[in-house]
Amino acid sequence: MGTITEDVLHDAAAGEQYALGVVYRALAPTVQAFLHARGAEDPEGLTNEVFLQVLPRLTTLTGGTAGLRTFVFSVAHARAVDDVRRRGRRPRQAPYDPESDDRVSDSAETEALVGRADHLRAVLDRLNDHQRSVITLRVLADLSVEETARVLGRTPGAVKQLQRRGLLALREILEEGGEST
Amino acid sequence: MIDDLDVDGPEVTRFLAELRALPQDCDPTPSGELTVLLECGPPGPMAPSGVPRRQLAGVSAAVLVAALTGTGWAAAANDLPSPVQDVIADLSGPLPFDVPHSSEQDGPGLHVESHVLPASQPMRSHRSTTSGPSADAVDAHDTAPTGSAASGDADEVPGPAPVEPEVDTDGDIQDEGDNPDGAAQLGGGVSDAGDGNEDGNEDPGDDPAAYPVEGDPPGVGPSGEDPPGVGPPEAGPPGVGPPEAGPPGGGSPGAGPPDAHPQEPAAETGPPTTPPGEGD
Repeated sequence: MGTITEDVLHDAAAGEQYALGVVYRALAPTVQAFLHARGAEDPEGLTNEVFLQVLPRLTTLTGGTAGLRTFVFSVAHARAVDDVRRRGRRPRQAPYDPESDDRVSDSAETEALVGRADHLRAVLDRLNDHQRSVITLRVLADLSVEETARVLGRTPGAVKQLQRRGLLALREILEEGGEST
Repeated sequence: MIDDLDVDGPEVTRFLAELRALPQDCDPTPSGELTVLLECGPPGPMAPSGVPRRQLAGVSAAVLVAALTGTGWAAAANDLPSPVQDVIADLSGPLPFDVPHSSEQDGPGLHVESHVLPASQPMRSHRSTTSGPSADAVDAHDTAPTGSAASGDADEVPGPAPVEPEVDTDGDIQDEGDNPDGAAQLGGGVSDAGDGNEDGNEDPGDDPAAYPVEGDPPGVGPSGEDPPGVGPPEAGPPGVGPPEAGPPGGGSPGAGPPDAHPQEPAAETGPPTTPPGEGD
């Protein structure tokens, strides 16, 4: 995020190609990680959707770089919620993807990365939706309590409460041995 | 932000640190649509000048309406260049008002009508003011059609009178038929169609209020329907409405005893108008 300055943001709002690229490169990985941690089936595809929605609306953005981050993760949060609902309505049907085939052995590095991400995701899955949203927005998206409250449409007090309970739940889960329930 | 989470326990701290580092492993590939967006920029919701598109659309629509209105008025006044005027006249067939051809502008003796007709007709006055000399021609043409209407026969059709003295002398409703013919002859360029219409339309045209529409007789079909010779003079009026209606509404509001018969006024007006027309 450090690379996104007010000037860059101004240029991005004006449609400057370089500035749009800076915004995307600075935020897209975090958005994808956020969506992965929230349990999205296709984090990369959803990340594209988020930026397709965000970039054209930069002209109406207020609040500077902090406002940008809040806005981006508001959209990402909405996409994650939509994804969960969509999965609840119908079973997933997707073409065969060799990369997601468990029968294919990955490289050691990929295995380590995927393994770590899956471990984190498995632990977070044991939190309830609200706690998971608060923890991921506070830690991954690096939002303040007020910004998180704005994204979730809750009061800062409610966010603090969810955060506290979520951290307590995390400690219990990790002491039990992690994702295994 | 992670510092103010008030975390207790090394395991939770480590877990949150790993979670925070998760984006480092992510390198999303932009989709084709997003690539286009990143390379070309978003389709601007704002115009270059900063004016919202909606406002631009409004202004454009207003300009378009103004241009069309202006062109329409100019066409009605026969003020447009000949080619343009002819094109618009051709295209204005289905419209409820009459747009003259450029050739209809030059008709001898058309000026007579202006003083004969009552000043009650707003359209006429407008045209005359706007079009100047040509206005006479326009008026004549317009009036001819409408004016030729029963009552107006004599008055408005002063033009025809000069050409065909018989008409005036006849004084009979026959004038209607005559008038159209006369008008055609006078105007030279005047289309038969217009004249023919006049005959049938007379009554409605007589109404000052309905005047603007006179050119294209409301009920009357296109030119073909009302050839000058068609039907007896009375036929025209009755077709449109009761016989009385024609005279009173008749373009000859000036005529005191309009109720009498359309022909009467014609007879009266005939004589006075002929002289000026015949001056030629």
